[in-house]
Amino acid sequence: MRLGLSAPTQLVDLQDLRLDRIWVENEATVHIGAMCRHEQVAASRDVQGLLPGLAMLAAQIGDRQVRRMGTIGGSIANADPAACYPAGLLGLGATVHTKRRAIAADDFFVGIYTTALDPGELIERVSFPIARLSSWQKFKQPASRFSLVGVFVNRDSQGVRVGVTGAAPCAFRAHALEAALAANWSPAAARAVKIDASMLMSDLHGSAEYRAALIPELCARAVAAIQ
Amino acid sequence: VVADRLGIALDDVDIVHGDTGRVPFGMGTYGSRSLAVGGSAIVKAIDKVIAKGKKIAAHLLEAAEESIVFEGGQFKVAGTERAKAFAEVSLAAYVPHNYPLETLEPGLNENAFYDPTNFTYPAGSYICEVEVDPATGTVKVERFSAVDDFGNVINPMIVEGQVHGGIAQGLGQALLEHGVYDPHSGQLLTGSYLDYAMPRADDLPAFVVRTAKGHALHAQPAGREGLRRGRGHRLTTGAHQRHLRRAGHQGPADARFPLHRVARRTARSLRWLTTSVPPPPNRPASSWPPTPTRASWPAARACCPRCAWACRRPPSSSTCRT
Repeated sequence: MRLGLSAPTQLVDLQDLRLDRIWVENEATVHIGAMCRHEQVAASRDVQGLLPGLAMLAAQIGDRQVRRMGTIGGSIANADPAACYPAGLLGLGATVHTKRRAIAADDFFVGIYTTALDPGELIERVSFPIARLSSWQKFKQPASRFSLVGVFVNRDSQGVRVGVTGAAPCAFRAHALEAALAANWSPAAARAVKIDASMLMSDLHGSAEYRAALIPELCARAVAAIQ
Repeated sequence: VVADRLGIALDDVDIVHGDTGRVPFGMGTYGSRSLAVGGSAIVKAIDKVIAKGKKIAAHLLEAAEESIVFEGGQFKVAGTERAKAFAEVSLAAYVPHNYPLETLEPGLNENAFYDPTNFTYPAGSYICEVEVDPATGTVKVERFSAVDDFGNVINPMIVEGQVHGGIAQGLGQALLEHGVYDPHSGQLLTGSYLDYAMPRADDLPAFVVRTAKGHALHAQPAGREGLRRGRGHRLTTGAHQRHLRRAGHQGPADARFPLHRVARRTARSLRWLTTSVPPPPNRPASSWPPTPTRASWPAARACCPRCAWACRRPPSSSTCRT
């Protein structure tokens, strides 16, 4: 609605559902309610301490007005190819909880503006395993300031996860980068990875080849920020 | 201009504009020349008013017209204390009880027309410091300094504001803005600010803006050279594009530029810059320019000796920017 792309005649206000809480369970999982504002996520002490990459990500979304009103649930349900949160969910191995079921982030983002949600299915919260070694790098498209490419890097006991947004019709995990970083956790290892441009988007702001070149570079910078 | 010239208060000057029924003949501004040309006409009209005022003052002061001087809003008999203020003289002109009616028409109302015999060419020099990130091709403007000679600056605040706006427009054009049409359908692709990159405050550094009074090539009576709306913008765009073209930067869609070429051209551009300037005062000339020298990069001026852009096109070709 803010971008002028949609003008619905009816709106349903979900404010009274109280889905705007952030809490930590057993020092192992952070739950973020679907209606938590970006600003709230960025400012949360729990998120800053346990999911530093996600706090960085939320703090850089859109502008002040968007961060004041936009919610994590709204962002992931919309699944804009350049939205920031999808990369964070993939990078952190999050789980999306709806009224009926739990969906792993890897299964949640299906395609451009498309998710695994059924019609009418409502997101309640997103849960994240804690990830103290996580970081976010965003290359802003100069006009809209959406991610031209955004890379989320997370290193935990299970290995390395790299979530990428903005580059393809749908956020995805960069398995080549994950493997390279699992073998050698260094910015140089990330820069050495070549990303296949054939699956990436081209638009007037950047070719697929340019996006392919940005992904390892941003990943390397995120790794450097963690070290 | 009027208050200064007549030595009267600013509040005593009324400016009438925006109503063609009340003002004499005029045209559009044509290259921001309103004050350079219109201001000169005002000065000419004021000089006529002063010349007539001297005749009236000579009568009132019982002195020869040649002995009257006009200074600080006073018509004075040269070398004496005897004087009449501008207001007294204008009262006498409109209420002519004591007035040389036989030789002089009452009133103090003058018109003047002015058409410049040549153009004015304000000069200026703009310098910016940019940082190019060779890995991503992004350009960040670190510092920007602008010094202009606009002739007599009438309102420094407006001038500084125009220079600010011009620089922002120029940086936007050089680095961000790009109207793009779909080559097949003709549809405008950059139809909103989601895709058309307008410069925003955080794209720009704090500018250093100064004015320096020099000598106008063709002095106008008002001594004022045109401050063009697009002035900062033209210099800025030129400075940037020239610089960045060497650096391999191609504007907002630079994204497409092969990254290794960005890095290589940046290095070459910096080398060119360091070899093009005279040695700094604290450095012996023998150590300047630093290696590699200009000779090792002769292509820079291959188009023609005069080409300041080093566009490297064939000499004297129609596409050479000189």
